[in-house]
Amino acid sequence: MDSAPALALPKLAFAPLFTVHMALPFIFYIILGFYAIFTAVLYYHWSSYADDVKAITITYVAYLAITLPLIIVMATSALIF
Amino acid sequence: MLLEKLDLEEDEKVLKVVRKHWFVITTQLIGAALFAILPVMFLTVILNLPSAFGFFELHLDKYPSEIAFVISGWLLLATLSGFVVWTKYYLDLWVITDRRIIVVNQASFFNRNVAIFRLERMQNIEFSVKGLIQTFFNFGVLKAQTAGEGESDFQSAGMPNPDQLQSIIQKAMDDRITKIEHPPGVL
Repeated sequence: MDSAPALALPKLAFAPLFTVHMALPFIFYIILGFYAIFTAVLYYHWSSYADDVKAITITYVAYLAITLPLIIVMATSALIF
Repeated sequence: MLLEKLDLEEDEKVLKVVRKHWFVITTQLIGAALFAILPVMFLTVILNLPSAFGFFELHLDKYPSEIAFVISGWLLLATLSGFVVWTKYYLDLWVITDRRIIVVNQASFFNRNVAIFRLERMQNIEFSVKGLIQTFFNFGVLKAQTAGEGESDFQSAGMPNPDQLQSIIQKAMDDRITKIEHPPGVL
């Protein structure tokens, strides 16, 4: 006697709704927000409490010279490619 | 600026402004640099795994923008931590004047403690240099005790040339007491 066929579940093919590449812009905006807040906090501390104009200038220049290229690379990776 | 914010008294002279020893910040910055190169080391290990670990093949060439994003983000994080270290080092200091010792303790962002101790109320100033590194680079813990009951003793670690600082503070204390007991112009 043939047994009743098992209930076959339909095969569903899901297209990926959310890829890593799609998430990059959102992650980038979160990091950008954090960076903006951090920069404001850093600026506040140095402008309020530091005493040497030369040290303040070097710190600002070094900070922007190092972090801005990294932000640009992140923006390019997340938003353009 | 700092010295205006500290609100020095009239005719008060700053004898010395002291920050922690360079060895202290160097070790912390090396920590941040090691943190920065961690993904490079990780990728180097992964890419040089023998083929037996085939399940670890990542096909990194398929994700150039994602990899650039992650590495840039990681380096940004390491850079920001380096600037936190530098800011803390620069804003954490002792100002020794001919009347007071002002101890600024910048524990972190938004955690700043400024303590002022008058030299005439100081009782004892001592330092300790412990271990090979501190002895070799000449830095240690500087500790001061005040006479008042309500006031707390204070100390800072990583102070450069502690013996020299001790003698500067001791001399400033003696001069201050002499000045109070025998004010100039009074016989």
